[in-house]
Amino acid sequence: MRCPRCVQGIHRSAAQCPHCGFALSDLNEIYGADEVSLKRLTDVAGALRLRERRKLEHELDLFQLSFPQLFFSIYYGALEDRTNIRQFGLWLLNHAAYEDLEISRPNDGGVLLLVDLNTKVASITFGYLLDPYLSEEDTFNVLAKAHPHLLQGNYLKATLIIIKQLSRILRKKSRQANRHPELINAMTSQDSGTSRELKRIRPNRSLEDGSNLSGNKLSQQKKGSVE
Amino acid sequence: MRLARLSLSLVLMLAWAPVFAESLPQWKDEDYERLRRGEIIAGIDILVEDKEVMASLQLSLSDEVLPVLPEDAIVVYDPKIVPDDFLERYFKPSEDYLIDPQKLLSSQEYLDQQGFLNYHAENSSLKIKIYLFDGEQNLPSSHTIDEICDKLYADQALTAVVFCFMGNPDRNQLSLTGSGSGEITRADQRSILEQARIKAASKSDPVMQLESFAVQLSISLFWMEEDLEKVMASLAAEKSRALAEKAWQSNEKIGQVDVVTADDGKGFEMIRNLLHWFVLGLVGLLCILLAGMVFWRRWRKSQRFLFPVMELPKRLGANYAAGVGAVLIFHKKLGSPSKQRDQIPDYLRRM
Repeated sequence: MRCPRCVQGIHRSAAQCPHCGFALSDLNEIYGADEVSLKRLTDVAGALRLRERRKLEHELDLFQLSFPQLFFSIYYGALEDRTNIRQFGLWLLNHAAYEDLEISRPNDGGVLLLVDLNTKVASITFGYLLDPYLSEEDTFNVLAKAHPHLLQGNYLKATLIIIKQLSRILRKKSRQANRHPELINAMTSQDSGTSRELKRIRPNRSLEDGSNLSGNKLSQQKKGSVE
Repeated sequence: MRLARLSLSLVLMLAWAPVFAESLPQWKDEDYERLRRGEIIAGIDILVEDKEVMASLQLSLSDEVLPVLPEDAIVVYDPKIVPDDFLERYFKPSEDYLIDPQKLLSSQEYLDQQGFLNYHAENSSLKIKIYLFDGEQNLPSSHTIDEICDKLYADQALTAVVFCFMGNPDRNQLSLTGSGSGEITRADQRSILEQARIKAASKSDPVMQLESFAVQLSISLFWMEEDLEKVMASLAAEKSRALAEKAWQSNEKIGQVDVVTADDGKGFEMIRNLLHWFVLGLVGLLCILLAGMVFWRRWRKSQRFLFPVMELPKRLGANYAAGVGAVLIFHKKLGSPSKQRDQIPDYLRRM
């Protein structure tokens, strides 16, 4: 997990970023704490034609049919230059009240594709339900596939590719999760932000060894400072 | 000492001189004059026949009987006439495609030409028979090319009979005979012959001329055969139409029409017989593929994918979502996405 402001790795249950102190309440001060009424396909920037919007809505329906717990939402906007797209995406998915979505699908199962046509940036934000299944690398690969079409300004084609690629990954993850649920449980319990960072630094050592090592190191440092 | 030897030899020479003077004839002055006038010839005594020797020679010659050839047995070679015994051998029925009883070609040349004609015969239903003659030879009126065609090949398959005159391709003759030859006009034959003659005339060696002639003839006959097949097919179609019309008028059953093409049309007939099965199989395969695709799409759509729900602690104070995925800038200045794989904060990017 990463902090949307400083993009540093954080613990899965961190109340705020240990590096920059970020929390969602910071964004509420900027964008507001109230709910925002949205549709699954919101084209504020006017990137799509009517026919394209209909086609995309049909694809969103199909996505929901395949994944009964999830939904896919799209936001085409022209944000201000200083807007941080990661932070805005996080805030939007937490405050959005989707008009064209049944209540049985909470925002926990949502995937938000945010495209800022002003700064030419695209990002993906997803709810807690997909936390154990989707990684940053997965979302990057999905966006990278659509990169040529985004460059050409073919937003319909780009979005269709993103939905298709994401569906492919989610199908695979769903099968894996249902076949081996113990793996997912183990991953969610162990793969917290700090432990993952430690793993990355010392890939050859187990987590326990790593924590002991770090503890020893800290105690040695303390001793040294006292002396 | 030396002086003594010289005097001794001089004495000896003077002692023997009268002996040599008596044995050898002596020239006189009047003899020399007679020789100059031509009255005597030097050595004539040696050339004069000895009577005794001559008498013995005549005796031995009279014992031998010299053969006397009859006047009618002397063969006078005429390059313009083909000998009768060769004529007989020319026009006997033969399986060979090259007929050369006069051995105008060497055995190797004969084998080469025969090989080419065999090759042509293997690939064509129209055979070529080449009769070789010398360049100046004339054939009697009983052995013209038309006579030969009528006599030997009239009731056989379509055959091209060629009279080839070695070294004189302008005299070459061609006649097409056998079944189906009626469909080929004289003009066509002349055209084929003319093309082959021109090709042969481009060579100087008689054997090369023959080879060029045969090759060009084979090519021309191949194309003529192709055209002939079409003509035969159209004739058969016309015949079948006429038969059907006749049967319609007479209200009888339609009989089977024999469709015969120049090469019997076996290959084409076989393909035509199997063609509808092939098309049927192809259509069937396409239908199966299409049905498979439709079925697969429907099955794919009907599939439902569920995720096990887990109780996860809230993060950063967010109630529903804290999963921050990747960010991708699609501005041309930044190039390919691979350069953006490592996610960095915005403030670093702006710097």
